[in-house]
Amino acid sequence: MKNYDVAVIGGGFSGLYSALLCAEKGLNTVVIANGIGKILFEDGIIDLLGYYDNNVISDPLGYIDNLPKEHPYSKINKNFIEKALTHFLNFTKQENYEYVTYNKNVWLPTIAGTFKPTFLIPKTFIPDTFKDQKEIIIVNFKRLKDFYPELFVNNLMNINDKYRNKDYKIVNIDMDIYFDRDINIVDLANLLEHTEVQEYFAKKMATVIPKNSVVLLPQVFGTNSSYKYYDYLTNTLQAKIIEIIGMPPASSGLRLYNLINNKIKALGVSVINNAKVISSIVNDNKCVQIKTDILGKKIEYQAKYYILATGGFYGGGLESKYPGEVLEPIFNLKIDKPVDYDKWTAELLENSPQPYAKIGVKVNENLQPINEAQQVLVDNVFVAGRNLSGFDPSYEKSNKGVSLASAYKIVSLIGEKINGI
Amino acid sequence: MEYNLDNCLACNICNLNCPVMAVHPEFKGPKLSGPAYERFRINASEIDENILLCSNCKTCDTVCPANVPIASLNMKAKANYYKYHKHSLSDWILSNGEKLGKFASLSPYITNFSIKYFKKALKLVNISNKAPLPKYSKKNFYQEFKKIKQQSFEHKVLFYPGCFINFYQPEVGIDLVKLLQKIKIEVIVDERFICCGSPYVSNGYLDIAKNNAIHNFELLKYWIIERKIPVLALCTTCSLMLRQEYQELFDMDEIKTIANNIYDAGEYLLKILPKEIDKIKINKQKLSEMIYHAPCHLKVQGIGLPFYEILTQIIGMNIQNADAGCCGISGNYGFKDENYNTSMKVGNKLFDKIEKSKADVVLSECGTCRIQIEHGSQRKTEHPVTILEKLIS
Repeated sequence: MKNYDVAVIGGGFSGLYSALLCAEKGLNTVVIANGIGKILFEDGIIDLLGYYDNNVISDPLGYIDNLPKEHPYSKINKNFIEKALTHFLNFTKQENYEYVTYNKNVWLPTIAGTFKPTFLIPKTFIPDTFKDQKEIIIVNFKRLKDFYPELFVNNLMNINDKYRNKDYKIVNIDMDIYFDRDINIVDLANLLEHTEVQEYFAKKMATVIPKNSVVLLPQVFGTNSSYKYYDYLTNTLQAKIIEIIGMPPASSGLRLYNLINNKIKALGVSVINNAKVISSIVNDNKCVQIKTDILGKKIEYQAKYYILATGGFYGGGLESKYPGEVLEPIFNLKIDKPVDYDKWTAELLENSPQPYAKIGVKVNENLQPINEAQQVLVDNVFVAGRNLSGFDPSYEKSNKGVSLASAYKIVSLIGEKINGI
Repeated sequence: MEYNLDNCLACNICNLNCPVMAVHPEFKGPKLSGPAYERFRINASEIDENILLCSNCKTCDTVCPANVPIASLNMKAKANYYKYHKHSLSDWILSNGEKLGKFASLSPYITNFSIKYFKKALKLVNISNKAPLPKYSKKNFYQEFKKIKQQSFEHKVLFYPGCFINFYQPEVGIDLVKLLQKIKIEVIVDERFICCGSPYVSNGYLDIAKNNAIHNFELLKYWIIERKIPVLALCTTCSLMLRQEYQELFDMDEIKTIANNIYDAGEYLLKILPKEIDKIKINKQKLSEMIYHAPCHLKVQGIGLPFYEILTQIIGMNIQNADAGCCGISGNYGFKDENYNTSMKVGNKLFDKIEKSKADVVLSECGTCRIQIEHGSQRKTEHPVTILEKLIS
């Protein structure tokens, strides 16, 4: 049996990014994911903090001091959050898929014709020209489901006068490729990885897109993290092209997944897929082993440190089998439940926080699991991402920001302990 | 095995990763053909022939974050489809590798000669004449095994060669025996074991596969429970079938009690080699540059890539992991005339990656992956156990 420096439980963004940071420090790392995790359900952009307490936030870093002490950002501390963001920007730059930041929130159009606040974006999403230009061309594709340009335009026009008074022109492109089924955005993105399809699309676009146009379209620029074709097309058409954030599965999520997954594998991280960690052995406040079980095949993994990045209720990191009870299934950690069971949910589809969202693992400032008396429960376990307590990522738009910052802080602490760096 | 279809959240992660869907414009994908349609399959006569496009590579199961056995749902539906539709002759031929193997082994020269010179005739039975059919070996594994004079050790394992190693590449099995002998393990074989049944499953003969499962299960119980000897396989499809798919397809929940002692050989070695590492000698010889392809049926087992991990992390070799998805052959899917093009398109990503690498040799645990890779990328292939056997003395 092999001994790792770090075992990361969970293959989502928190888990993969933790593994990347570990591998960069030269730590011998294994990632154990149930399936490949739920990362492909994400959109690949990094939200930091968009809303809090009915406030619309434009400067999320500036707002962090206003957050209550239970919020993960307060525990992680602004210094680490800034370092984490810088690390992400440097990493994407070094891999030739640079993300862009405005150092404040940027509002991106979504496929529903609304806007969403976010913080770090790939350059295919830069929305500046959309705001300023009067004439907008929207590209739709024949047989594409999941995009309704008329709905997109109608909803935009309901936002305010600025968007009502633009001229929207919808153009339909037939990719002339035989499909005996509906196609989704990822099908198109996959097709546009092939040179001959890229050339065909460029020709078709040239016939409908005049020079200096501003063009909005679904995320079709490939499933790999590369700007090559996007740059080529914007240059040939001499147009501004903006991708619209879509429904999952999102090609931009796939691009970020491919970027990190390829990198960690190249750095020698072992990635075990389709392996669900079901239990752990803890002796004297120290985890000595975790175990996976696949239809009776049990495999043990040992590491000096464990990063618990199993997600919340949706990811499987938290379970609620009986009314009002919440369980963290691997270590049976202490759960923070800020409200009573009868107040867990607010009105559905209201633009307001859901109280149950703040349920999560109780941790200290080092993101180690603690009990009511603030004592650390398992010394060598750290908690990253969605299974932390005290935040509502859907309402706040803080999901990947918390994942990124918590992963960064945890791996910094582990690095200090192992390498003294 | 009972499972709740509502575990499927319709998240589409399977569709995003399905190698057939990525190249075939008609395949409706694992989400629809698996859990979604399953709800409506009250009457087997209504099963759509679209299900035949599923190659049973099980990538959907590997990536599913909700542990839905999608491919097995598809294989059950495929078997039901054939209750109302006729099988093609290729289904029968490609499923019965074991029976044909026994017959062909009587005179492998004549069989190989016939296949080579009557390739055009294959098309008549829906087998592609372009596909890389494997060649029968002069002697099968069990015959070769008898020639080896093993040292007897207290530590014993049972080796299940499976049809591919038995009839086509017995030398790979022999390499495992030699390797295990070097680390003081004695190998036992049991000729009563029969084909794991996987080829029957992917061609829709679920009843035959189940008979094989019941037969093999009794033997597995005998060796594991009564004799307390673990069972090893080198073919990842066999190990997957024996310990995972018997449960998923035939409700054989009892397998759970012995699953822990059915091993992929690499997995077994990874478990014991670190303890032996001080006692064994590693020959640091210069070998050709190599690249590794992980078979889909290994990835779905949730045990990582044990042979790759041994070679790179324990032995310390520098081998690239191609990590380029399915090779396309998926057992015998790509041998069929109607699937040959799909299978080559699926494999293209892998072939490209191999061609771009400087490697002369491609390593992979799966026999049909190896012949598909030789066909698609014109490189030599080896089972990783062959390399490991050379390195350890």
